[in-house]
Amino acid sequence: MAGKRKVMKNFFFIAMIASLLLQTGCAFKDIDKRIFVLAIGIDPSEKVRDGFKVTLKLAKPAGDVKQAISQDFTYLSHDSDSIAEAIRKMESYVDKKLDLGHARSIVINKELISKDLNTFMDVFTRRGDIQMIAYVAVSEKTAEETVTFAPDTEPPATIALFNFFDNTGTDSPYISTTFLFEMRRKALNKGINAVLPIIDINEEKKHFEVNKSLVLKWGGEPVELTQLQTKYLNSLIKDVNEFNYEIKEDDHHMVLFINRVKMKYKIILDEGAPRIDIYIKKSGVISESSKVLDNRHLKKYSEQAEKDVKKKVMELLTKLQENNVDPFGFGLRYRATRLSREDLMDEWERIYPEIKFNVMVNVKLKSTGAIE
Amino acid sequence: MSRFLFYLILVNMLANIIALTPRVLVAGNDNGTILSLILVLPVIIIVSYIIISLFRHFPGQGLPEILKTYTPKWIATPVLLFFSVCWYFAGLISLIIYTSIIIRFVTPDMHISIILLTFVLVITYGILMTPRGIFYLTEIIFLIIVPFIAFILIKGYSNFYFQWDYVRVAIMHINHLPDYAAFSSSLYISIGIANLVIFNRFFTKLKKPTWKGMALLTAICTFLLLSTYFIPVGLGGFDSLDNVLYPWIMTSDSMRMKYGVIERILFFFIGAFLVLAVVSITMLWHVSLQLLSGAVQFKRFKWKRYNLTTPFFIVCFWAIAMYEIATISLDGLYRSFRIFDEYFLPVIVFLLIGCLLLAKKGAASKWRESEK
Repeated sequence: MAGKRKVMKNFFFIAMIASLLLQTGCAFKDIDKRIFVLAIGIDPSEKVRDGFKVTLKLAKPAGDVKQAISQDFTYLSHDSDSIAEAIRKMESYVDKKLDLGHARSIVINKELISKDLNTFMDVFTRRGDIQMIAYVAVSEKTAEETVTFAPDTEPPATIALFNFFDNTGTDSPYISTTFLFEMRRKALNKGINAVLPIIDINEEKKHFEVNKSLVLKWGGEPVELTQLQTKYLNSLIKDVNEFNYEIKEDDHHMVLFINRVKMKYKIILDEGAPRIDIYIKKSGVISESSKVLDNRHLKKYSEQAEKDVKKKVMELLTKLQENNVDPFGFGLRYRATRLSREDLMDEWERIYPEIKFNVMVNVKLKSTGAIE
Repeated sequence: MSRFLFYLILVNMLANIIALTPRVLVAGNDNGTILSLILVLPVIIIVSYIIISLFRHFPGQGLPEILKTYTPKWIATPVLLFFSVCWYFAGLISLIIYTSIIIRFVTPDMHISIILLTFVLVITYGILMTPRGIFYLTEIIFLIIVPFIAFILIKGYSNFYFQWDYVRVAIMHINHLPDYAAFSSSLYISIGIANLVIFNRFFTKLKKPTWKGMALLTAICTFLLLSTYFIPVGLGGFDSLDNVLYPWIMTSDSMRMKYGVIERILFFFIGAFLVLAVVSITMLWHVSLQLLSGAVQFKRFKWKRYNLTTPFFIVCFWAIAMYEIATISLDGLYRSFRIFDEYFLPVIVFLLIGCLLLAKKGAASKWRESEK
């Protein structure tokens, strides 16, 4: 018995080693036979009716990055009535395999957002090789222009389009980062709406401007948020840890530097008119003032700030409510706190347009900065 | 309790995290998955306890020996055959799923039979080992892999984008009657203890299950079972996972290691689980092979002095696997997985316990006879 097993085992051991000989090289295509797609831009097509124009940003292989003076990219674009088809066509434009595994940015033309998103977003989740952590953004100009644009600050071997969103470079509160998976879940779940950043190029064509955002609405016109509203929204739903507030009162002008924001909310339906109690806690320091400040009056400054923040948050909430969008996910919370019923979401859709917001802001200023 | 008992259960549970079980759980998400998960936990603990206790009466013996000694032949042979086919198919389903995952996400250019062949060769080497060898192999792999898996699970729960609201929505569906499909497939992933039918040969002195051991087992099972369902829901959303084929793979792709060696956890994740899958399939097929050769031995089927029954079975294993991988569609796989879970699994559980009780009775009467 033992002898037999040993023979068998040796046989399989040799067979396993021998099977390596069958591998005539790497089953993967070698890296020099691949060309990496870094960003994908989608525009409505001018040539094909109801079609798309897909633009790919490709990294050109370079021997030595250090010697390159400027960045080295090349671009492909093709018009077709579907995105998958366009990508397939473009495979015949290069002598290498188009590898979408490194595509980190998906830029969509603003006009397409109000159309049926499902028709073209489908391909990105269906393809196994596209990362679910790719960034999705909307372009103010055409997507092609945005994808092919190279800002002045872009050194070789980096891509500004990634750095804006991945929180390793800039950490601006004006930028809303949306991953593909996040957009997908927010778009398909009832009770919450996805927010997409808008990428604009400045007039002199020197740099990008990413400071506005768009709230998606399934099957409807998206709602555009201004710069300030984007900041307030981000400060409440994103993990922003450094951001400035401007407060003007009479002739006194102050800038606060807030480094912690916390938001909690509660939906209250059984006490009178339905309302949402929102508690916002902020703490930070004063970073600029037009007057000499007194550390003893920190409380007064905090109160000033509270009033101001409250007003701005209310404005944002009212705007969102008027347009019937819900990036905070109040509807989701409503579902999450009630036993499931079939008409739960219909109920919420009736409640939401009329619900009152009760914003309570607590600003804690720790100091007046390094000077008084 | 012996730590090897834990391996039997945990390997099966972990290996199935990325397979089809999450899909079944998600498919029933607005239809009673939660209650099924809650129901399955006591069932699994009780069944594990009963099986361990029953096998204690037969130290160092596998099911073929037990049945042959203590029950009539007309019971033993069909039961062993039935079990061996079931175990084979359980392994085959895992094998096909993992092969298709590799071809979809890791090496799309490779031929599917070569992937399968690579798997099958390694597994064949594994199933010819002794139970002791397999246990030691499991232990080594377990010690290497479990930290990675723990890391991924912790990463999932601590992710900034992990939203408890989605999980709460899922929990709020507790008011539906339990879903049988969800119940049976979560029973399947936690029934690893049934592998004792052969692996009991290793336990010559199986101790009584202690309450501490059972409590630990309950805690681990609860955590893993709930994580299998909650992490995909928390990261991928509640309504949006319905049409996702591999919820856990999408989930792992939604996680990001900002400053990690690789940013995409996906490959890391598939790699870790692949190793576990190999161990799990090795265990299942080892059991199947041993049951089969316990039931059927061709006496004259010899080459020199080796009995060729076992190699013949192995060749059959290969042939069926090759045929299945070439013909089965994902839908067919999914359906056969559900048929296995919903109809065969309860039969296996009851039959196994029934046989053991019968054998125990047989053993008692024989013991009395010899006493006389």
